[in-house]
Amino acid sequence: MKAKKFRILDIAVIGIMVAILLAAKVALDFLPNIELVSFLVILYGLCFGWRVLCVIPVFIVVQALLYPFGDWIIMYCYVWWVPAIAALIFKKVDNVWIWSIFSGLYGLFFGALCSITYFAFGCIEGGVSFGLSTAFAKWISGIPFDLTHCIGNFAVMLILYKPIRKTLTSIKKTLSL
Amino acid sequence: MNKKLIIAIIAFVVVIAAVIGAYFAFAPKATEGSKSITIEVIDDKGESKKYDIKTDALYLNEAMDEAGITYEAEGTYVNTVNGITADYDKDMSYWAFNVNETYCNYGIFEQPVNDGDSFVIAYTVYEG
Repeated sequence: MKAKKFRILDIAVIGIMVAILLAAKVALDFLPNIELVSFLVILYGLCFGWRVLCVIPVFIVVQALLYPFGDWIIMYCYVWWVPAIAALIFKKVDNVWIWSIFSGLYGLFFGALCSITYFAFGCIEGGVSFGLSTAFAKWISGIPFDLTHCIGNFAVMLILYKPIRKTLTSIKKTLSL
Repeated sequence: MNKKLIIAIIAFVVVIAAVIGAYFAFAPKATEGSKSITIEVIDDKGESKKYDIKTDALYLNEAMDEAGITYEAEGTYVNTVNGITADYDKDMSYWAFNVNETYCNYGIFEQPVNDGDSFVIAYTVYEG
């Protein structure tokens, strides 16, 4: 198999993808748990393939520079890989309902994913059972926010999937990516 | 819409319902009625002030209000207690909340108050 070259064009495209991701994140920061990042990460994965794997680490680093240090940095180090890898694995799935359901589920279990960090902290502080109880309590207390996240993600994907996928596919063809 | 998609949508709704069910089953529950509790506030100089109150408060924020403990919060994160602000970005200080010698797993707006509870709110500096 012939290896693909990493071109300057790829770097430029990745930079633009990160910029759009950051702009979308900052623009909706005032709405708790309503976000476009999951949507964009999935669409990037579906339309631009492996490049999304370069977008995520840059996005995390820029976020870490922009916002005060906290537990969230550890969570960000793994949560955004989930939709990206899912999009790469199921790249051939082109169904608005399937991606809306996936995005909704991702929002619904976002708190559960984040509580993995609290599990680790709890384990360090008081052993596995303390880690489990801490993580479980954190997850349960965040469920109302997760439900908002779920509904928001589902609606955003349902509304924007077709026009944005069409636009990104057209950009990909124009740039011969 | 094909059959598989309908099944997927139904499964999605079932999962959402299960999560809501888990919330109602396991979310912290507060008890009503008169309760005797203690709230100890330890400030940035290590000085302690104890508040013994009888309350019907369901959650810690209500008990703090009744005790006359003032606070400011950003969302669920309490940064100021009795006028003393802990700024984690500046010197890694924060207000730590404990109940019955265990770290509170919930924010003050969700932390249940039960009879005999002993809360400690301490100005803490993270030392790594």
